[in-house]
Amino acid sequence: MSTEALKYKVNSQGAHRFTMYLFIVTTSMTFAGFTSAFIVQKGKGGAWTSFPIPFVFLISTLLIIASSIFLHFAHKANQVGNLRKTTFGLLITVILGCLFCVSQIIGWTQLNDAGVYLSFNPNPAGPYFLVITFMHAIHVIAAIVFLIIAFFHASYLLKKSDSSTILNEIESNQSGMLRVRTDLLSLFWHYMGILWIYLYIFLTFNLK
Amino acid sequence: MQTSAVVESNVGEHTHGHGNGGGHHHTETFISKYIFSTDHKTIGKQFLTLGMLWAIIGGGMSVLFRIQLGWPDETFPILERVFSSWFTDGKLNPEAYYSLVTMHGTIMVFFVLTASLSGTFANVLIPLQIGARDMASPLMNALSFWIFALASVVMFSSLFLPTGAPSAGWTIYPPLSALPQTSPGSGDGMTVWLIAMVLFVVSTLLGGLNYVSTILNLRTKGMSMFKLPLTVWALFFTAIIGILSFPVLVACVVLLIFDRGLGTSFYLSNIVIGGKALPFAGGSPILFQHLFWFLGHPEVYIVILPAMGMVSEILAIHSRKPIFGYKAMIFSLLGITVLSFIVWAHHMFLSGMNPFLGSMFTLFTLLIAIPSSIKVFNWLTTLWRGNIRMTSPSIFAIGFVSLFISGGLTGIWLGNSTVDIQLHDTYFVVAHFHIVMGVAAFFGMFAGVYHWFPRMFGRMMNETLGYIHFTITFIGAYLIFWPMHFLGMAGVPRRYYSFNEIEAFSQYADLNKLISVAVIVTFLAQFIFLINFVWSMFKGKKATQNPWNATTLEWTSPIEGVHGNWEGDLPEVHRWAYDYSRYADKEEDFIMQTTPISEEEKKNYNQH
Repeated sequence: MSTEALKYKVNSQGAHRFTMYLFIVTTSMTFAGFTSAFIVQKGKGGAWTSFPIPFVFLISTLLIIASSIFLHFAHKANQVGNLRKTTFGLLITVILGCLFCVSQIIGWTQLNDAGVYLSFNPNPAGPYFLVITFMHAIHVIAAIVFLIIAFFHASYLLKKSDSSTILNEIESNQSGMLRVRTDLLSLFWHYMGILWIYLYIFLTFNLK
Repeated sequence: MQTSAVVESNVGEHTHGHGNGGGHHHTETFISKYIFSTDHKTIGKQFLTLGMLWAIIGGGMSVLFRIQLGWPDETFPILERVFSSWFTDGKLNPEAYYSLVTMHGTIMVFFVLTASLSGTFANVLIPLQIGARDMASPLMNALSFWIFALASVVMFSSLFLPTGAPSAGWTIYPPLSALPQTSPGSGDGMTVWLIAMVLFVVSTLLGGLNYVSTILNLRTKGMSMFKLPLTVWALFFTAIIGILSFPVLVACVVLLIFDRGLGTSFYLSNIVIGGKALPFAGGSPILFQHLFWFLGHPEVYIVILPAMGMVSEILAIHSRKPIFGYKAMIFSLLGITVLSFIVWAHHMFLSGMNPFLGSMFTLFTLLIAIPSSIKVFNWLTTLWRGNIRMTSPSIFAIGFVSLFISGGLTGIWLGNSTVDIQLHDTYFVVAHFHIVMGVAAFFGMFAGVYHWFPRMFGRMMNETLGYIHFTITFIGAYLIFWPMHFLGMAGVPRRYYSFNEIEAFSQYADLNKLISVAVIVTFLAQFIFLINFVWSMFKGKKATQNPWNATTLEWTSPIEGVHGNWEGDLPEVHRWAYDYSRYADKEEDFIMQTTPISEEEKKNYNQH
């Protein structure tokens, strides 16, 4: 990317933040669609049986909250130019994010063993739970991919700044890019956490 | 084309160092300039080109199934030679008929009137009319087009599947769309349809997010929201509707994909096919309708709002008068936007929904008549005693108003749940939505293309061909859809392959022939437009800087089209976009938005 284009990107950070907020609105609409389908189906009556949600989903909740805290520190460290802390924070966030996904998979397996399976389940409550949590996990995985890119970006800049103390024009623009990147990513990642907490509470109360 | 490239490279030197969007000033190759361009003007042209291609395909499909409806007893060996897989013994196959109807709807609603209409004009107009160098994210903008192109290729490929194109209707109601056993097109065809639509939604969202963000963040100095031209307002609300409604289609389609592939039963329950009971239980097809129409209804406003915005702008310019009720126009757009989200169930009056809910949705639906009639009133009063210039854009804009009135009035009939019991699923519905949304939006689009063609290509379109195109299309559109109201009132159901064996409806054979002839003539007339378009692009009369004497910013940017839109600083805005015929003693009857308010004006300055 040319310097001009990079500058344009960094300078329109305000617009990018706004676009990210809009994207969060669109994602919320998707999950509003899912959860209202859930409510409609439950309200319709018929073969709807609730089931207890495995404990491991609570661990997932704690994991994603912890990852949000680390990303917040990484973002703050990046704002004051501390690349070492930024890289470290991003790495921990990626690990915690992956652990969240693993924990979700364990939860789905436990449900499957307890008779809450996806295909040809006469009880629609099970497939709804599985599909909604799966769609959330898909979004989390997409966000993790971008977190990994940001991590490599940060560690590249870290290596550069170790060898020479003064950044040239392109490099200082790229650290600006990293600021935009972590800024937008942390918005989305915190939103993923909030969305999960909403889904966890919604599903827990509705499957009582 | 050649000259504009030269100008661009010269301008590059000047723009360097001004503002933040001077852009690249290295020499551009054909590929980087026209194919993988991130310049919003080029992306707009890309959307337009692909949209026109889709419109020919979608329109051509309607010709094929209208031939079947017009002449159900005749055979057409010539057509069989061209479309061999769709015809047997010179007659269109019933399966192919349903595929064509489905694809015609999908292509026209989504690919032409959503992606291409918004895509073209939002890209060409938003940055130029608000005074920005480009979109908030030019890269996302380019991605939006290329994902749309990918969705187009995927959707087009479904026509060549051995099992046939999708045939469950553009509304893809389950169980027809969910179970491959139900019809040939519900197999691979529907899978491809779903993949194409997911890509399509991604493209629409990338575009929509960008449009809203650009309008709110990148307006030039002095361009307050209430100084924006109505086109920008309309595109703004269109993008907002898209952002809020398309994600719900994603939720709807994801559940359908699970039903199709993974054996869930979100939409399926108690189904017996060929004497064999399927293991699906507990689902609800009405749930699908709720989720689908939560997108589906706002979708029709996504189609019509950009046309409304362009017509408002064009009518004001070509009648040399300020738009009547500028703020009323904005608030009626807002009203339509809000109401569009609470009327979806009027598509479902006969689906077994609670009738008390039906009366609520009737009420909300009829409320839409209020903002709609405010708009119609304002268009007519803008024209009233104006110094109307009968140019191609203005006659198409006036044609839009006519169609919007005739189509809108039948909406009041259909919005009433009681009347809808008789008219539901008849040709009355086909007539209503084709006139008010299909043809009207096309007229808005034509008006926009004729009007902003000089802005896009630096040349004028041929006026005479424009008049001929308008006359045939306008008369043709009414000839096609007006008789359908009578068919509908007589109870003739839509989607039927043939009425030969139904005595009550076979008496309308002549009327159906008339409609089919009108369809063929109107379809052929569109090639006049295409010839005019391509010919004018290369050989048209060179446009002056401000060919229509309009006030808005896009005509202050060099007509050749430069990267970054303005050489040097961005223009500053001092007044609203509709200062036409303000002072009788002035030589020119318009004042550009960039002209500062004079001392004399300040004395009797009122609001604008």
